[in-house]
Amino acid sequence: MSQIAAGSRSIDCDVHCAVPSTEAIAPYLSEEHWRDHVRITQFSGPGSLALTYPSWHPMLATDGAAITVDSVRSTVLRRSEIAIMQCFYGLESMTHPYLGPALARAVNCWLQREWLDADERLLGSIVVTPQRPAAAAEEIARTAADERFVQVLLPARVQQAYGDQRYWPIWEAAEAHGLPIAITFGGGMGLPPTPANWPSSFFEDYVVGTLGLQSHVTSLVVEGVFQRFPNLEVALFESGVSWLPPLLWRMDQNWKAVRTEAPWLKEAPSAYVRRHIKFGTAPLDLPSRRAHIPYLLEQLWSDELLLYCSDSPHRYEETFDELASCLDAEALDRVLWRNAFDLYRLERFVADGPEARQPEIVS
Amino acid sequence: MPGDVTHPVGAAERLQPDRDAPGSAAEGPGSRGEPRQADAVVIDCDVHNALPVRDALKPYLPSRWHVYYDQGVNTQREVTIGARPHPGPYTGVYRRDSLPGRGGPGGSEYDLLRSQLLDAKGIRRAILHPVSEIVQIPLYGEAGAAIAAALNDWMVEEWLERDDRLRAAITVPFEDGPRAALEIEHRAGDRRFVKVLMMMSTREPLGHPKYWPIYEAAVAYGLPISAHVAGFSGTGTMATGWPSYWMEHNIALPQAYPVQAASLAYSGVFDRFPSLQFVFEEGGLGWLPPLLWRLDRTWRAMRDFAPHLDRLPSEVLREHLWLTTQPLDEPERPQQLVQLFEELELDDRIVFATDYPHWDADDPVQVLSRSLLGVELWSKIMWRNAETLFGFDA
Repeated sequence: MSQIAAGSRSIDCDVHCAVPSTEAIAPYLSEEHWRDHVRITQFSGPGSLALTYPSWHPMLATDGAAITVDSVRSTVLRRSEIAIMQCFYGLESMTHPYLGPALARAVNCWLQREWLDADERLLGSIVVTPQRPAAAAEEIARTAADERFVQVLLPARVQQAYGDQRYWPIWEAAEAHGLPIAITFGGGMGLPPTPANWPSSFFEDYVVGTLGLQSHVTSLVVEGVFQRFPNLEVALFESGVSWLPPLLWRMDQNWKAVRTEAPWLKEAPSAYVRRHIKFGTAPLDLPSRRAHIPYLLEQLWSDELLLYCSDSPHRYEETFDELASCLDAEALDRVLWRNAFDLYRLERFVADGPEARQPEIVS
Repeated sequence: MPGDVTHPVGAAERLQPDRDAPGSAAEGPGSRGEPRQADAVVIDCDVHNALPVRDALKPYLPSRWHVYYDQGVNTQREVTIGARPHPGPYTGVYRRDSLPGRGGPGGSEYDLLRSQLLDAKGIRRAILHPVSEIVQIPLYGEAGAAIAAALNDWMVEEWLERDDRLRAAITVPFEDGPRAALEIEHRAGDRRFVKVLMMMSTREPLGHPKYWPIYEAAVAYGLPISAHVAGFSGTGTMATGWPSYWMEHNIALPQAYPVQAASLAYSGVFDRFPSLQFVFEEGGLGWLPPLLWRLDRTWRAMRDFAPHLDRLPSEVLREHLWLTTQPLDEPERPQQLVQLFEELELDDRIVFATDYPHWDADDPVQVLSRSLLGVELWSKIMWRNAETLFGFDA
């Protein structure tokens, strides 16, 4: 339990729930033949799901049966006023052009009925099929009618980085509906996740999992997504932020030298990152020496980039407290509350200001 | 901050000269522009030489391989090194003024390399890496071994014999452990070969046992291994495959470094070869601290998944990794470069490199400020660490 988050107002931007079984979402499949198909094939979920949150891994397991509205109420919602649910389902690994989008729709309907309807403090993320951008855009338009869905959820590991024009229909739909894009650790398309091929172990695979996020930051900026969609905002989750300063330096260094290749970039790449991209705080890879944490904060240039996350049920609260102990009260409130409040336009759901309800403090 | 989009800033214009740098007037080893060779101190750990024309290798290559060599051996693979679908900047990868008047790539004419780099910049030792040739040779098999051997013979005859400031990395068919080991054994007697050249993007991560024969030979002769930027993994240059633009390709080049460092740390290769040393080249420095923090956090959280690792990965890597400086990270404020060195805790293992004749080469007169780093750290980076690493005499 984060001591610091418990004592202040907060919005938790990354709380996990999981589809407990195919049977749970099957009733929400809109077409009978897909309901038959998943039953006949004994479909147990997309392949990349088990690799991103493996049940055998104590640090990462996300047990759909154990995480319930009640369990979120008795943990996350005792310290935070709002929990933004992320129900990662691994749909990017589905090659079927119709079943993938049908499952996305079913997961979103399930989340809506079984979670968002159950507690007004729960908000949702829309799952889509990034490999099928037209279907993804359609699902965003359909789901956005329910304003409790406050972002679109995408995985880091996909076929090509998100700046590529194949994805632009997704950004267009998200921007049109005022929805930020959340890109989270994990996923999988069956392609090597590194420029040196496949890691040999889960340990290595986990360590290098931040590289996909670095690719997306680079790609979204360089390929001009924020020129084309100036109101689009992006939040990166579950991969920390300490890799960002050297990436920003390198992006700016390259842009100065070779910007004739991308004349739409009117400012240094770091300026676009700071304006359009936010970063969740769990898990953080903080400097091993406490004295170096302020360096990181200075190099990031702004605590306006950070969004408080518990990543519940995964436990990274100690590293957040370590970071928080280096922030002043105002900066801490931005990270815990203000940044998310502004990004997700939460005035629709919760009161702002000092009169805001203080969450119950627990130890 | 942003300037006119139509006027790119070249590498040479990016930074103002540092009055305290070597080759500058004050107390430096010579006056700027014309340092005397006797005063030269800088050890340049990454210089690229090249064949002036492809046929220039033939005198060193057995004739039975000439037809094979002529047909071009690299096919689609070549795409992966320079991200050829995108035109690169500045005449491919070369500084425009490094192109010899007679034609050929930068670094292919000794006289020009000598005058532009060795003489002009006060370079006491320069280590040659014929990377633009390596990227065109087969990485395994008899052909790979034959062409690698020819490149090493060419290196001796046309470069090392001409200038005693020059040293070289041994070219090997690095995807072929046993043949690479043979070539190392063959060259190690010539102490002008100071390390073994591998690339950063390999078919398997560097901890894979297929490469261990290379490591075994290297430690037997006391040679470090260079893992040089780029290469041919068979996958895209980004974690997310192929980028659309050259700029993305170039920004993403350091992505392979954490993969390789994590692989080496996890593989246990340093338990098997305790004296093995790796020089990670041309990826800058900034990628390492966040990787070490993440490795250590992961190690603490996943002890059961790495029962063979009995120490923090950062401790292991700090005993076996060296970094070359170029392209030196350019933080927004100079003081953040000092912060980066503090985070690295690698004062004894960072060595200077220009990367001449590439377009983004770092000038020893300009890039590292002695007043900013302090003379102790600065002199370690500019020459003292390299003396230790390669056993050069002071």
